[in-house]
Amino acid sequence: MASTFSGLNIAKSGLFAQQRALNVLSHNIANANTEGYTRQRVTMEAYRPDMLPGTQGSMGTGVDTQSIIQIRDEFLDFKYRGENVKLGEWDTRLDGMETIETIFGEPSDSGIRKLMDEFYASLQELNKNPESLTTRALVRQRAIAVTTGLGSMGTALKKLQTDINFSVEVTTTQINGFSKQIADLNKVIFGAEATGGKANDLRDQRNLLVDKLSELIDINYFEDDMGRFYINASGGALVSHFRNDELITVKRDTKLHEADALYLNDVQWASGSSFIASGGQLKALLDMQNNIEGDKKGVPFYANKLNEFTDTLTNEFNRIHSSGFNLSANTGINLFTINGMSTQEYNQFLLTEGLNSGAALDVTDSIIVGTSPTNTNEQNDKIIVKNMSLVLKNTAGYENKSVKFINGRYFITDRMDATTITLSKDVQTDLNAIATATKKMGLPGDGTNALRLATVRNNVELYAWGSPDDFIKSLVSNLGVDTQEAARMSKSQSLLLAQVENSRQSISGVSLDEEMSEMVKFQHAYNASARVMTALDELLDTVISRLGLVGR
Amino acid sequence: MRVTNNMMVDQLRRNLLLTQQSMYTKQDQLATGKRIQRASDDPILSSKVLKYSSDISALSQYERNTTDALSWLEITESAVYDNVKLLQRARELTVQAANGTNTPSDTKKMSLEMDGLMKQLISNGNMNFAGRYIFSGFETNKPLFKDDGSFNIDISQLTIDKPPVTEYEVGIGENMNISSNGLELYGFNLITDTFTNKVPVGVVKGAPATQSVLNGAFALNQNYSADNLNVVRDDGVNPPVTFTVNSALMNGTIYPLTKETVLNAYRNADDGLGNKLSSVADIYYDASDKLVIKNKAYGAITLTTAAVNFTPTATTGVNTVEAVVSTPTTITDAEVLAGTNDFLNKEMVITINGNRQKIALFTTPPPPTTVANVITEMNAKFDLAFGPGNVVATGVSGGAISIATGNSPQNGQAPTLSVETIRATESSLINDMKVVYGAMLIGDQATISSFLGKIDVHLNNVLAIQTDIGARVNRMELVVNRIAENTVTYTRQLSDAQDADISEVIMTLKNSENVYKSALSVGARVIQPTLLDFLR
Repeated sequence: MASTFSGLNIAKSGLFAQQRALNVLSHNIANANTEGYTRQRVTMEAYRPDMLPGTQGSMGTGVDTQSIIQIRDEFLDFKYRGENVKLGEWDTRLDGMETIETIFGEPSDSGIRKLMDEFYASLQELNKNPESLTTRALVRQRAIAVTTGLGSMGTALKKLQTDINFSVEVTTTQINGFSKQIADLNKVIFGAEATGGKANDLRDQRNLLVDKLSELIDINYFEDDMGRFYINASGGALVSHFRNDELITVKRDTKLHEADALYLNDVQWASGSSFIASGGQLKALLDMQNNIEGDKKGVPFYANKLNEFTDTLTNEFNRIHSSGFNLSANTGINLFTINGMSTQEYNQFLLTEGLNSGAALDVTDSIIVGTSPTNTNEQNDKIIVKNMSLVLKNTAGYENKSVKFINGRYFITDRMDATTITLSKDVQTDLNAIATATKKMGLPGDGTNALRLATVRNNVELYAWGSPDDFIKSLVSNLGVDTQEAARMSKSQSLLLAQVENSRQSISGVSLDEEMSEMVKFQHAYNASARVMTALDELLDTVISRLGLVGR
Repeated sequence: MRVTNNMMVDQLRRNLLLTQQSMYTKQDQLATGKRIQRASDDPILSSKVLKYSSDISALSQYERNTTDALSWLEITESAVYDNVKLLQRARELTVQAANGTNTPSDTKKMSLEMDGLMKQLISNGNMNFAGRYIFSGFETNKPLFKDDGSFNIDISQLTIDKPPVTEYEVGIGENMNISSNGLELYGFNLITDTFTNKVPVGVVKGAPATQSVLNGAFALNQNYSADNLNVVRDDGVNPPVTFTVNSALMNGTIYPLTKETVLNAYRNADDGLGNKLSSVADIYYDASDKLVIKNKAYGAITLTTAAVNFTPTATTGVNTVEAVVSTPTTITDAEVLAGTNDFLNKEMVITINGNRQKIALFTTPPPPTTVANVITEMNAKFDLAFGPGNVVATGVSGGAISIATGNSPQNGQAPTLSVETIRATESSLINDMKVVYGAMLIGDQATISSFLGKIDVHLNNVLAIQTDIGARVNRMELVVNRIAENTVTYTRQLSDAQDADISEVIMTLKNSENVYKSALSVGARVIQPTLLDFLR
């Protein structure tokens, strides 16, 4: 026989359960727009029934809210993070590549191509009017335009590299921040779940952090049987349960590449072991900062190429210019030097600190091998040019160096850096110093040397990529292809990610319509339970107040 | 699939963004008129754009060059054409004057016109184009003639076998010679006198010095701290210089030395005056790992005393071979005396290693009477021009005069010496005109008649030059046409590569706009209603 009040208890359990469901539902609605929120459901179960004697069977005792669960597909999380790491990488790479594209500014009417075109044109004019100061002034202005053009490109690339370096620092700090927060959350979640339940909202927070972390760095994560959560990244343990390992940035002592900006950072684990980025924003940033070759060429590749362009071009211009005679009947004057030096200062600088801040290396003997006084100058020039590239190629560490002709001898020196190139002081201060004549007796009307300078444009043997025009063309199409790849990958990754996110939302997202209909459902159930309560109340009222009044 | 409100909003936002991106690109293309904004829009096309733009810029420069070349050639042509007319008139005048019936007073009247013609010829020779004298070779800042018809410029640079050439580039590797040689047009009279016949002329190249070398094994595990490793260098001119090597720290028995240390020790060896050994010698390890100290120029290089652990072999260099220009003909004091005045104001052009100097001898009397006088004067002027002892003339009566560059042990380069004498100061054409003018003044019929033969030679010469210039003008005109055609072609190709097809862009833009509008209107419907709106 059931107790008198058992019906009340059943009605009460119904009220409580529906109320709890409504609370969870209200929580869902409140968090409909919360980032990373996963919708929750109350699972209900009938209480253990009372077994009635005999064959009557069992009688229900009401409802119990068993747990509040998250509707979440962990496989989609895994997929999301896998795609996010790629998106982070390509997106960041695209950013960097687009900046480089802007720095080169081609194709346009203001890029280096245009400046070079105008410079050649002014040299052609000089050939026609070698003694005209107006034409000389024009050549000087156009030459200055070329040097400032190259200089600003070089400086912009260095600035970009420094900016990227700063981003590396910021990203590392972000990663450390996330991993710290995750480790802290681990502590809270582990504590909260010690009794067996699930800390849903805390887990949402943690999942969101892992999502964000996956954009920055390629991670592996897992939760063990004990509910301990681990994140590994690039061979190290970023988070292991309550503890997190930090990444640090360390200033480089020596430049990785000659054209690098100063004081770049390397990323390593705080423990001192090395860190190799395998994905995410951090990898893209490090690639952009450090890669001089390979699939994902970064700033150093373009800075190096720009220096190669500058160096070879100035070597050739200086070689021709210094062999000619100027209006003051002097020869041996360079057209281009660095930092506004005069030819003499520049030569002195190269000889004393031209190679890795030390003295330039005299390689005259290896350079003039095979030349002979009986050859024509052109034949000897060809042999010398060939020997120059051989010497640079065959000596380890000198691949990105340059051979310069100083005071009648050949020296290995650093490449002329695009950031430092200027017009030589001699030409800067004296228009007459532009050497237009190939022979002293040709003064002042001989413009042949100016013409030789102008035809550097068509010298297809100047670079491995051909003439100076070809070089720029190849560099720009390289840049174009790289940027295009980054743009395509970034676009397709963001589509893929959108798709995964969609699937995730489809499962975990809060649908207001759904919540509304659920609300109506639970509201009705609540109302009905309340009505049952009232009915039982009336029954009891009858029992208590009305019974035993017979015959009164 | 379960669809939530946020999914719909997100999807709508993404789609709107995509359509907007497409509209953004199209609007950019319309506003700039260009299909490619950045290299990544189309790497292949953008490299084409760069190529065509450069080609067009080069072509427009070639076009300017050909226009200038044409102007220059045309002004030359007009001067030469004028000369033809003048010479024809001079010929008529001469024929008229050669008629035996003319009295000296008749020919004197004709001489006035002849004088006028000569002055006009001189003035044509001084023709300039935009301030540049067109017949003066590279000395474009000076007129060809002085007022009296003698050459105003140093004609040694205009001599016929190596005329100066001014070329304009009118195509890749295609140069157009626009210069005309005034000397060819006006002819010149060679002067032959004692001076020109007896003073040597020519170009001679000497041989370079070979360097002296110290070469020996320098073991890295020895102790050199007690050794005297100092090096002496003797350039053969100045006193020998000792370069002190700091051997105190060079003990390789504890820690082996490095090549770098050894090289630095030698490179920084000091002469006590702050000069380093590296400034006069190359120091390096050769292929067989021996230390090499090689003099940069001629001169001896040795160790001061024999070192115990470093016993290099020394190879002595050979000095430069001097360049000597001499003449096979001999000269005697008697010949100098006979042609005394031939030496007055004589000019020579001497070039050593590209340094060209014009030297005038005996600018003030007295003229020389002996060979020794000539040699003394030459050496005095050579020393003034090149510094003492660099160019030396030698010779005695009865022998040949020779001119030599002194040895140059300090730089060790092969000397090249070139000696020329200036052998003409007058144009043969102007000179002949002067002669006939003089003859007309006094009615000298024989001289007048003899001019007829000469003027025909001059006339033919000028006509040949006129033909040559005409041919060059024709060629230029062809080049102008070709450049114009190429410019059209390249401009079209550039436009194909770079310009946006406006009608196509507008159509796709309109299309995107429609999509955008429908997306907006759908969005407005999708976002608005929820179940909430219908619950009461």
